[in-house]
Amino acid sequence: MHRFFSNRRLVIIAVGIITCLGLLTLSVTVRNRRNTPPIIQQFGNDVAGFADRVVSVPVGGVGAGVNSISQLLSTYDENQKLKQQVDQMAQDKVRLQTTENENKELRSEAKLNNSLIDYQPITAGVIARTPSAWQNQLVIGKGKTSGIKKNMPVLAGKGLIGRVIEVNQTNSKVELISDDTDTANRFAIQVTNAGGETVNGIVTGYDKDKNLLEMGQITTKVAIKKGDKVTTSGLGGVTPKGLFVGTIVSTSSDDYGLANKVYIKPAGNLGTVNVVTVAAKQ
Amino acid sequence: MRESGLRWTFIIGLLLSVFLDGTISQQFAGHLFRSSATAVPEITTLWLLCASFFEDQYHMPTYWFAVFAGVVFDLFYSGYWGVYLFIFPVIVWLARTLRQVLPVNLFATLLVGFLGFTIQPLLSWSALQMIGGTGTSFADFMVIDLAPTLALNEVILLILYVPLRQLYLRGARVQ
Repeated sequence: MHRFFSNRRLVIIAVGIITCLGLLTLSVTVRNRRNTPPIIQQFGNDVAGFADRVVSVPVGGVGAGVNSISQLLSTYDENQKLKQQVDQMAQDKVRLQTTENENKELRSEAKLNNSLIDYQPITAGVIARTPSAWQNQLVIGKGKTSGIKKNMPVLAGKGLIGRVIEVNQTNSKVELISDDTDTANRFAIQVTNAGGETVNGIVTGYDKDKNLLEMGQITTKVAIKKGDKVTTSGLGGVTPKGLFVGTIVSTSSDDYGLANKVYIKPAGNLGTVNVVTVAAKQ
Repeated sequence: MRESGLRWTFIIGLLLSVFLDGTISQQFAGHLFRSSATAVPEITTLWLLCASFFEDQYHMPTYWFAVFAGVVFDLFYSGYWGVYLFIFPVIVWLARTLRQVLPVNLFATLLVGFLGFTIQPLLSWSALQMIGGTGTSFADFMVIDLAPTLALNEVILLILYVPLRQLYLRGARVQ
């Protein structure tokens, strides 16, 4: 054992630790900047992205098999529920079309060409997930060449699941909304209650145990209750307005009667995600 | 000349495991990444541990390959430089040091696996905690993340022990 503490070993270990800490500091600085990562990092990631696809295609096949078996078990119940929803859906669709047309006409009359709601959807496949319990990140198969930019919101399933944090030429990294870190960017969201009143706030955290989003920074007395829908507010940045975030599960008030913390059940699928939509603001 | 066969097997295996980690995580996220228990596949750690622990004589620059795997992990998965770049060589060093004092059998391998699979998440968690890259507390880390991760990877190691051991025994015989 005494050989381990010989001088040469010590020097190598010390240099190793210092180098790694230096690199870590550097990458934090680069990450917090608005622009894309250094060229060498982009190049490395693009090469890794291509290599990853060779592995991910066969594993994807196996994964699809396992998932379809587990889904098969709940198919009957699901089918019953879905049948009921389909009828409702047809009605909603017609109404939506009528409203959309009316909205377009009204906007052209009011000379509003681009509103906060408009966005261009970019669909991308997920090629990998960070194998780590505390970095909830996905790697998606589209990058700068497809028009993806840093901080664009990402949707999957019924709603918002996260935002783009790093853009390479042919792939990008997505930080999931469940990533509760100091460095995470917060989404500006709003709640519309039954009376049509809106409450603005931001996503302030994620409760890992209960799988719920926390909404804070609320400074209004408008009553919000369980079941109210939460969407992005489109304020301050690249996120378009009206992306579905989730529904309210519970609210808690502080001593002054303001609802200071609201818990939201995320609508997006944060589990196995194979395809995502990146919402590029027009 | 013959030893190059084992070397290529090691390199291809390492590349496969690096990408398998990300792909398995993605495909089985619904089963592995639950909020009550998170089991992270650590195939790359397993591969490096076994390669270093089963190796009879050191023909391969395993440390450099570990650094390479670390760079891919840092760039492609994590986005932070210098985390796995440090961890993977430590894993190799750990296995090689234990090789001096432990016999190579199933139980010793599982023990080495236990240490390796614990040290890898522990170091990466500490590094990210230091720079504010994670909100997971130490208690959550131990109960929700570490225990299921250990269980999953020990089972994978148990399954892969015989084939991997055979591979390295055959490699040693050919030499």
